[in-house]
Amino acid sequence: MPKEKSDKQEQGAGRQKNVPVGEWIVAVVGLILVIGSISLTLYRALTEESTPPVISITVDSILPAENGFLVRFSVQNTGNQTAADLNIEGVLKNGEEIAETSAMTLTYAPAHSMREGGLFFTKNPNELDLQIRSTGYSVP
Amino acid sequence: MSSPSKNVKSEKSDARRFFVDLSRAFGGAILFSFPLLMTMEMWRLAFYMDGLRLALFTLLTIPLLIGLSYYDGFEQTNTVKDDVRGAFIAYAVGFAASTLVLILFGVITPGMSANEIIGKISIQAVAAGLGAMLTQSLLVIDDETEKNAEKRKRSASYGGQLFLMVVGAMFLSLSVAPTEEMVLISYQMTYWHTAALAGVTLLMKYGFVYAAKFQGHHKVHSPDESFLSLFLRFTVVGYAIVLLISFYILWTFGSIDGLSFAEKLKATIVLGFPAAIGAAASRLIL
Repeated sequence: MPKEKSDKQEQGAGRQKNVPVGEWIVAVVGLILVIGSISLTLYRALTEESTPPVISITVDSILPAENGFLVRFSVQNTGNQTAADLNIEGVLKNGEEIAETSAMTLTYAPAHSMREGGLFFTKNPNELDLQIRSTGYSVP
Repeated sequence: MSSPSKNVKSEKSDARRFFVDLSRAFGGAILFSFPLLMTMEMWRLAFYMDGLRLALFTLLTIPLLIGLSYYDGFEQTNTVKDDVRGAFIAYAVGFAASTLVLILFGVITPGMSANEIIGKISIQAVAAGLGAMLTQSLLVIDDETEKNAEKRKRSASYGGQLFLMVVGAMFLSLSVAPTEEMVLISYQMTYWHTAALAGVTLLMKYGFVYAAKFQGHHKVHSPDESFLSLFLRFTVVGYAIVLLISFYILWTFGSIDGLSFAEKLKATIVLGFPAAIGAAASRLIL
């Protein structure tokens, strides 16, 4: 440490202060976090087109439930826009005839993210033709 | 400094002091930001907020933290370099604290995109970073740091006082700004209500300045400064700052997008209410 500087510090602070290495490390981590999060958001903001939500729903499992059956599914939004109040409808078909419908609303399906949900049916989805699709959403 | 053993000892105690400072800053980050960490609008903002606005918000935090470190940081600072380092430490602590709490609350889960996770954390890190920096006044510590900051606060120039108003306004308004109530309240109000609220806010702000004058908090204005001068220099300018901050925060969170100008102004005046209290009381809370 240069003598001049330490003199100045002693005068200025009343007590001499060494900056611990840890302090620098945390500061550099902070700098990286700032640059990292700014550049990630900027990159996304500048490169991504605002394409509408693209919703795909896959059935994960069909389980017995109280008074019927539970169909658990995951919703994947591969679009660049978030869908709010995403309505999801499940239909059980017996040939052309609709045997039962159930519906739920997913509060949010964020862009490029996955959410999970479930639908209850009284009839056995394993024995019928199960179709799950999203029927509509609002822009948050 | 003269003997090597003393040097090692002081280095060790410096490191321990830094660890204590860091833990305290962590506590301050959570103390200040927990209302936001527990607000669902904040979790959701991450996926519908405009990326450019979020980037700007994070970017503007840094000069704010540097300035705050100068006036009122969590450790003693003597140089600009110290303040810059302090600002980034505060941001890192705020980021870490937000991450921890959001994971504990189950807000961040697997299956979320990196963009969503980073967005959720970085929007909280602003408030938490402010909290980490404000620790020194929130959790009172050793007299030396306190005296040092107090001296700076008192000798703060007019510009310095305005800066503290900005921080005070952000401090109080941030925790309510993202909620739907801000816009909802403005819908409930007529233009008469709005005008009255602006009047009451101004009066309240003047009351704080007036009270501070008698306590001798401000060195910038002399005791015999006229009513008009005091009113114009602190109350009116302060309120203008408050409205700008309120508008900026509402715009950042996208709360007033698509509203007419008059409706935007109403919401700004509503948020200006807590912001003005924060600005006026900045000498008390910061």
